[in-house]
Amino acid sequence: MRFPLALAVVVSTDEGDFIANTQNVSASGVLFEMEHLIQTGTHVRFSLRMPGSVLGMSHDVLVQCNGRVVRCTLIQKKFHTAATIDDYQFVEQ
Amino acid sequence: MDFLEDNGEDEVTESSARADGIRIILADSQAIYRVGIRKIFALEDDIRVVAQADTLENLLAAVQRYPTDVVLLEGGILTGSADAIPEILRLAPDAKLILQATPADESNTVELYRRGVRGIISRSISPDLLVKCVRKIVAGETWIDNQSVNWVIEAYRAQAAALVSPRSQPRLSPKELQIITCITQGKRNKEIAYQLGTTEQVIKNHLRKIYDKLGVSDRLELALYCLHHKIIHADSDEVIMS
Repeated sequence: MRFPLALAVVVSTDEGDFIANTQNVSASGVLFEMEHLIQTGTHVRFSLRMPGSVLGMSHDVLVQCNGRVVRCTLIQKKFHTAATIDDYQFVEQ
Repeated sequence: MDFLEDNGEDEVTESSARADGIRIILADSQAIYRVGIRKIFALEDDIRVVAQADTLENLLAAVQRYPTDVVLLEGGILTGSADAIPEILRLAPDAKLILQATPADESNTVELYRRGVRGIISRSISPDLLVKCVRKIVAGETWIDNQSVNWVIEAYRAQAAALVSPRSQPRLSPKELQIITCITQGKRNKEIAYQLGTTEQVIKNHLRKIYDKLGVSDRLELALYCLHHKIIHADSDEVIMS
């Protein structure tokens, strides 16, 4: 199931950190919109911040995700970067 | 080629790996099925059984150790493990799952395909059909009978309708909402059971119902669902902490 969630994230790679916004997220993958090109195959780390107010908690929950880029396409001057979510971990804030 | 030795008590057995051909891991609690199926595949030049497992635990170990194209597993191995299929696919994302099971009901069949099973076959399938099924699935096809196709399409339509219509969201019990809140806090089943004063098995049963109701397959998808549909309210926390 793919959810059209727009969440601000920082995508970390071995070459640096890049600001991105999610276009949609599923349990196995995510589509980012970002300014920078990340090569296909690059391992990425990012955290999805889930607001506590939506989850019935007083604090936010971070889901730390690891994955790899499977596609990066330039569309209207933005890179649409698809990445897998290979594993994840819930972290309370 | 090395042949597998089936000693009846094997946890994970293996044959030497080759780069070519279709690699299969057999997971079946009954040795007689593993032996029989292995003999069927032994007649095919392009199909190799690379490992066997007689329990879910051993299967999870096998898929991590032996790269495989197909996992042919007995449905009974999954009993009581709601997260087993996503877990197998998480450990072996390129593997395609074929489930051997007795004829299932609609919700069970749909859920199996939703979680990532590529084919469901009868325990009494003929050898020729089994080999054909494996080749089709490795080629990227889904093995599904006409009845199941209808079930899956109906489930897809229902899910699509639910996504665009918040009013038709599944009704969740207070207990299920409590469990969902715990899940989104990253708590394990055992911790949730302790917090709610029940057993881990009860939590697993609730979780399976929640997954079925919402059409999700794991904890991240459940959290994303909650985020998207805003099904948890601020007072849920108070209920949980009481």
